[in-house]
Amino acid sequence: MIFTTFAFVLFLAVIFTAYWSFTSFKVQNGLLVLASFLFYGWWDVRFCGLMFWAAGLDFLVGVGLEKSTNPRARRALLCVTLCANLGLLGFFKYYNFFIENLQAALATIGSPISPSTLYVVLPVGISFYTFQTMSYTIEVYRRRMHATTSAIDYFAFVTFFPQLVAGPIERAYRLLPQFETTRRFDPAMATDGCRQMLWGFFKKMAIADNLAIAVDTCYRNPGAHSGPQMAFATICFAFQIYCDFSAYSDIATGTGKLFGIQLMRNFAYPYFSQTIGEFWRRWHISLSTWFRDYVFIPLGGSRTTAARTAQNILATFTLSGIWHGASWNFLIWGAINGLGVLPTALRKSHVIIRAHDTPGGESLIPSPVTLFRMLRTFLIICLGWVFFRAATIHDALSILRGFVVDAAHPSAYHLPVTGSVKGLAALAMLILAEWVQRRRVYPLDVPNWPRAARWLAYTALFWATLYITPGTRSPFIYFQF
Amino acid sequence: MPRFLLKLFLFALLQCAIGAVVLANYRIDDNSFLAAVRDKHDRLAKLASPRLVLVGGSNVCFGTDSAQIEKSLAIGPVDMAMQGSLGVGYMLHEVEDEVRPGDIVVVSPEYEQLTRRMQESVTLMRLFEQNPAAVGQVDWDWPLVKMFLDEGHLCIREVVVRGIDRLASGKTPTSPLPYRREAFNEYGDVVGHHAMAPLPAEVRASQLLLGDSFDGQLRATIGQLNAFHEACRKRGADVYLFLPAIPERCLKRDEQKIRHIVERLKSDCTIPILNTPDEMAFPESEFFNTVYHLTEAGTARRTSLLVERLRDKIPSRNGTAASSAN
Repeated sequence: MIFTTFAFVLFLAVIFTAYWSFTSFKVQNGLLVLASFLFYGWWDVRFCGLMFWAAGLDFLVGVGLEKSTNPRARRALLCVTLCANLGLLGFFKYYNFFIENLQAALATIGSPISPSTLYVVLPVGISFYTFQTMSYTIEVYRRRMHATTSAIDYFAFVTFFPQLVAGPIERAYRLLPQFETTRRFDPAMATDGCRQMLWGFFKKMAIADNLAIAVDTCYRNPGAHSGPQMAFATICFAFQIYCDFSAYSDIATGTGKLFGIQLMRNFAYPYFSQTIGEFWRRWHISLSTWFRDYVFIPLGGSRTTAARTAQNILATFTLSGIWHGASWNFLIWGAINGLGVLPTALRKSHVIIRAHDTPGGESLIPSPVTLFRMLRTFLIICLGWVFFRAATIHDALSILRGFVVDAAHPSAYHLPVTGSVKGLAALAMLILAEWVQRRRVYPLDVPNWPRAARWLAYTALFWATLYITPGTRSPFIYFQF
Repeated sequence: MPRFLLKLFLFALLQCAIGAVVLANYRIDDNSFLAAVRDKHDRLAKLASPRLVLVGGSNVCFGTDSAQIEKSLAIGPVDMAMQGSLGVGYMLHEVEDEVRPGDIVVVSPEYEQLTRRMQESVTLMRLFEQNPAAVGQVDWDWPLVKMFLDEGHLCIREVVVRGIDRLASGKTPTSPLPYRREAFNEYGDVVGHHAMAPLPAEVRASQLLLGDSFDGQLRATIGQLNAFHEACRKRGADVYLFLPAIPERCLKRDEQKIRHIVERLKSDCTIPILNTPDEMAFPESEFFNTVYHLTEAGTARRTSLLVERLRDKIPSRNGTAASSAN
């Protein structure tokens, strides 16, 4: 089920009402599990079996890890769960990619083979929930938390529908305890949730879906568009993917609040970052920190030689790239970002700006230096987006060549804005609102405004969203990962 | 909780009040493309049998010269085709009960209609506005209900956009030519684009959207076609399939899939096929704005072929079709 559908609104109303009519948190968890399977099965009921199997195995492994004191047995159990989860990902996501590349490689050395590729439907959100369950078993293995013995609580944690298919990828030690205690309805929290959802709907439906028109037109046929047109489309894509993905996180977090569950923050105004490192502390925070905790630090992190640190950073970012999809484009995208992070990461003395710090400093008007750094970071990120969005490496390279070659031709500056004008106007409003409100978790959080002004803002946003959104069905981009 | 629900209710009430103003400004567009469905049903009801009833997606109404058919075959044609996204079920059901003894029905679904569920909620909503009887002519199976649940907001959006636009401009917004009722002639063919320049080739460089796995849907569609054939046969009418015209490049690109579809039609569908995919691969220059919409020249070529294939299927009779029409 997609958030921006009529079906979801009906579903949410029914589940919300039923959920708060029970007082036992166990019953509430049971209801959430049922609702989550319905939510997930809405795409394809076969996916439910897969999720049940993956999550169920990790539950049993968790219990085994908790009970066992034999280090070898515990390691074996951890191996089982890692192999099972990574095996699932490998089969559904990377099998065809691996076979095709193996085929191509063997053909170049004169040993052609013809293994069969499979027509496999990628289960929605598999990368998200497998990472979440892996985090659970790793934490239990490390004895940083106790395994739960309640299957219902555990399944509520893994399958919690707001964040099931596109995150935030929650850590068990943060989310699971919330399902193990009684929850009381908090009107302030629920109101905040509705507001955050409204903001998410606006970003997705009014901005991302409109920008998608220009982006898709250009990237579908890059050869027919000039360098400046592709540059414009790339900038549009940068905001499309931000508004799309952060909108999902906003709606997920807002929905979670309606059920008394606090999900982690996933975006913190990333395009106001002044370095690539800062960008990655503000973009898809739940995935970045997952890779930091379970890949980068185990590899040795940054408390080692400069060469080793650089190697660890590049390995982590490349893996993060390939997590997004089975293609060389994603791998290169990851590597570009890894290279972008290196200069600041290797300068160990510099001050690290965290996600909760105000981006771009405290001043309302940014200094020229700050503005320059933000623009520089944004442009480097956009270079990476070219590889992320282009269909092939060849396309990406020809797009990058076009940026340079066509730059001097005035005739190349006819920008394909048709169809995206409303989205661009809404985007300008978003950038302004985000900058002014960047101390808040999301810009619509305006508790100090008079009630009439707040309601006016919500009403305007609601109708603007309905009016501006294009009349097409657009799933969230990150569903494909 | 009660306080939160009260606030939510009041907010919803405020939105409903605004919604009522918007709705009050919403008008059904009497000149919309789908408004032509009323004219087509009028003609279908008034025309004396035997008639030539043309059924299909927009490839038919953007590719038929009914006047030429009437002149050549001496039978009264009625072009019932509108657009593919209404679904195969609807386009068959809307004529099924209207067929009379002696009628000839030519069905020309697009390849996508055979292999995918093509329906769109907003298109169906516009159809229901124009022809409320269509609600009963659509197959309300679970996928269709699910589609409305998933796309209901798009229908609401349609009402909001049209309502607000009218509120702002005072005029009922209408679609550009040829997507208007006035673009149709009295037979139900689209002719409004004949005086317009075709879109540049690079703009309409789209391809067929056949997907990789469509056997299940193809089987279901063939089942619908067979049921329609049986219903028409019982009413004393003959039914034929006529494959759509597509650009040569599309046949080249999807040749394997198209041949597979046609083989399945030949083996499993009881309706005889009048043409082949090769005959229907037309030059790019004969397409107007999509891979199915023909220019006037393309329409003439497609119609000539249809006439040629129907000539021996239509029993000779006294008088012309024009005189039988009333």
